[in-house]
Amino acid sequence: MSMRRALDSGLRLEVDRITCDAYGACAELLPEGIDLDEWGYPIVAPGNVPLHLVELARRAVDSCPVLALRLVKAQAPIAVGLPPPAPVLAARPDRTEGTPPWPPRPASKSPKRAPGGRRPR
Amino acid sequence: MTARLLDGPVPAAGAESLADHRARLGDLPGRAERSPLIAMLESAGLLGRGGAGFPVGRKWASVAGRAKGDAVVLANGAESEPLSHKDRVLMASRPHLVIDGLELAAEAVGARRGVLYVGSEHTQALAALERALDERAASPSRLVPRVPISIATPPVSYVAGEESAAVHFVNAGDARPTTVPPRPYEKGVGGKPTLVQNVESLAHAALIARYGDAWYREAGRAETPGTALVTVTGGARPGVVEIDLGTTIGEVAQWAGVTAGEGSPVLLGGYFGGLLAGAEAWRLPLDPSVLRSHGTALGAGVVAFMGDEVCGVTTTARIMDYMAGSSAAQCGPCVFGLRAIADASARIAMGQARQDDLPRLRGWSQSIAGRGACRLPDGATGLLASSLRIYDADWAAHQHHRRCLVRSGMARATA
Amino acid sequence: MFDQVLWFTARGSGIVSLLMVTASVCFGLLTVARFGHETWPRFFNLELHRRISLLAIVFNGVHITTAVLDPFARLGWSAAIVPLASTYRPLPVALGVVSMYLFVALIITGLLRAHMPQNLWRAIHWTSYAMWPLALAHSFLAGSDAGSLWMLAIGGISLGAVGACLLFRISFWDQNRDRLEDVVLTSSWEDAARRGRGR
Repeated sequence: MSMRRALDSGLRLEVDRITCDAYGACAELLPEGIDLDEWGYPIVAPGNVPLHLVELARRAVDSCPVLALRLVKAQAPIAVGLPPPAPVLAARPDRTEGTPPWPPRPASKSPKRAPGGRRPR
Repeated sequence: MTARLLDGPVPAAGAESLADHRARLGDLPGRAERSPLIAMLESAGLLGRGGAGFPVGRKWASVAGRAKGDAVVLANGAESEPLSHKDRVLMASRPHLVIDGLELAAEAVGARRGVLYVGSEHTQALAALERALDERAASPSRLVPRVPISIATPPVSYVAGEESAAVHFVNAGDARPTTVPPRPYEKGVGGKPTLVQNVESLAHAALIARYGDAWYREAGRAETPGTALVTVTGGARPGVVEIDLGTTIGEVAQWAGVTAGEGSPVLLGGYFGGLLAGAEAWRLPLDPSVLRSHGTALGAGVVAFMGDEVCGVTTTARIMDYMAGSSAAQCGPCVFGLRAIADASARIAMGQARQDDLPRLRGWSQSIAGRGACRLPDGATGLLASSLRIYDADWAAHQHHRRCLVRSGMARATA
Repeated sequence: MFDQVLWFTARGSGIVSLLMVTASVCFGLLTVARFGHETWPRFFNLELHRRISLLAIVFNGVHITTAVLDPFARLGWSAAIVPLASTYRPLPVALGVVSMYLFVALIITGLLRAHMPQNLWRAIHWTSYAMWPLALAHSFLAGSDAGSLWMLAIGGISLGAVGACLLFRISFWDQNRDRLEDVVLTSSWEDAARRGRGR
C-alpha cells in the first residue's frame, strides 16, 4: 500500500486542559486527529495537522463550547532563549503511547475541496 | 562530599546570622569588580535545582530580555516533593545565601521586587528567612541594590511548587497551576516577566558571583560540573548531604549507611521521579546529563533507598494514592486517571485485584502523561511505569496469585 | 393595502423570531447538558444554537422595523429604542425593547467571544435567562394575536420546550466540575480496605 505523505500545515492543535470540560464536540468533528479517553477527555494525535485536515481542524476549534481547543503555529524545536517545557524523564515522548498518528491523505480526494464536499471558506 | 553551600556551621546549628555570613564568605565584590552574572552562570553551566534542570543562565537571560526594569524574582522554596528536605535545610541554615542569590538575580534581570515562596508548614525555614530579612534591613549592604522582598506562604501541596502555581498564588492567593502560555518569564507576578528559580539554584548563583565560574567548574566528577544537595533516605544516616555531581548512587549508599544489598531498588527524584534497580544502576553517576541519557533524572535531588524488605507494590500504591489526592482538580485526565490508577494499584496491593487491573494500569501509565495543565500526571505515571518495570514479578504475584513476594519471603529477581 | 402588509409582517416576523429564540435557547441548554446520541452528534447543538440566533435577530430586526413603520400601530422609533416611550401598550412594548437590547448584547458578545475575557462573555450570556421570558411576555402582552388558539399553542410549546431543556440542563448542573473535586478527595486505600473488611 502506498502511503501518500500528507503535507504539513505548520499548525498544531492544543488543548487548554483546565478549561476543557469533556464536551466531546472536537472528537466528533475531527475523529482523524482527536480521540476521547474513557472519561471523555481528548487525546490529540501527535505532530502537526496535515494540510488536508486543517479545515476540519478549524471547525473542531470553533465547535468547542468553552473554546478549549486552539490551533497554533508549530514552534521550532528549541528557540533560543526560551525554556522548553520541563520534562523530568529524558526524552518524554510527545505523544501518548498507542495514539494513532494522523491518517494519510486519501488518494482519491481532490486537494482543493474539504472532505464532505463543503465549499472551502 | 564537597561542602560549598553547606560549608561552615552544620545545619543543625540553625540559621547563620548576617554577621557570620559576611565574616565567613566576605562581602560580595562591588558592582564594578563583579563580572556580568548571567554570562558567568552560563559559562559555569549551572543547572536549575528545582527538578527541571534547566540552565540557570539561559533562564535569567530570557527574563532579562523581556523585562523593562520591572521584572519580579520569585525564589521557589515550596519544596512540595514530600521526600525532599534539601530546600528546607538550606533556607533554615543559610538564609542569607538564598537572599543574596535573590538580590543578585533581581539586579541581573532588572527586577524591582522579590518574593520568597516558602511552604507554610516549613516553619524553621520561614523563621530563618524572616529573621534574615530583618537583619538585612537593619544593616543593608551598599554593594547590591536592595529590592523589597516579601514572603509568600502557600499551603503545602504537591502542585503548589509548580512555577505557574507560584505565580498564581502571589497574584490571586490560589496555589494551583494555570494554563501556559503565557509562561511566567513572559507574564508572571503582576503581569510582569517573572523569574521563578529554586532556592538552591539561587544559593549556587550567590557563590558563583563571589568566586567565579571557573571555581564552580572545579567540582563535579562526570559531565556536569558543580555540587548539589540531595536528600537521602533508607540508610542508617538519612538526611541532606551536598555531593559532587557525578557521585555514584553506590557511593551515596555507602555514605548513608545503607544496609540493603547493592542493586536493591532506589527511588531517584522522589514521587516525581523513577525507580532504578540493579548493579549498573548503582554505578550510575548522579549527573543530570548522564542520568538523562539513561532515561531518568535527578529531579528534586531525592535518593531514597527502598531496601529489599519493602513491598514495592504497596509503596507504589500508596504514592499513587497521594498523587491522586494532590491533584489540583482542574484537569479531567489527571483527576480521573490518577484516581483510577490509585484505585487499581490499591486493590492489587491488597490482594483484591480485578482481572483487568494490571493491564489497565499499564495502559494508564502511558496514556495520561502530558494531558494535564501541569506535570503532576507525568510524574505519577513516570513513577508508576518504572515501578511496573522494576517490580514486575511483584506486581504479577499480587495480581494473579494474591501473594506478596516480600511478605512471603520469596527471593525477588532484580531487574 | 400596504399598511396591511406591514402589520402582518410585523406580527408574523415577531412570532417567527420568538420561535427561533426559543429554539436557540433550547439548543443552548442542550449544548451545556451535552445532549447527543447516535443520530444527533453533540456539535449539532452548538451549531444550531449559533446559526438560529443569527437568523432570529434578522427576523427580530424585520419585526421591529415593520412595527415601527406601520402607521396603524402608531409606534415611532422612540418606542422601539426607549423603554416605556410607546403610547401603545407601553409596558408590554418595553418588555420587548429590553429583550431586544439583551439580544443584541448576546449576539455581539457571541460573535466576538474569542476576543473577550470569558467571565464577561459568561455574565452576559446568563442574561439570556431574562431575555427569553421577556420576549415571551412581550409576545403575549403586546401582540394582538394572544387570544387565538394557535398563538396559545405556540406559547405552550415554547414554554414546554424550554422547560424540558432546562430540566435536562439542571440535571447536568456543574457535574464535571463538582465531580473533579469529589474524585480527588476520595481515598483509594480506605476504599480498598473497606472492601477487604466487608468480605
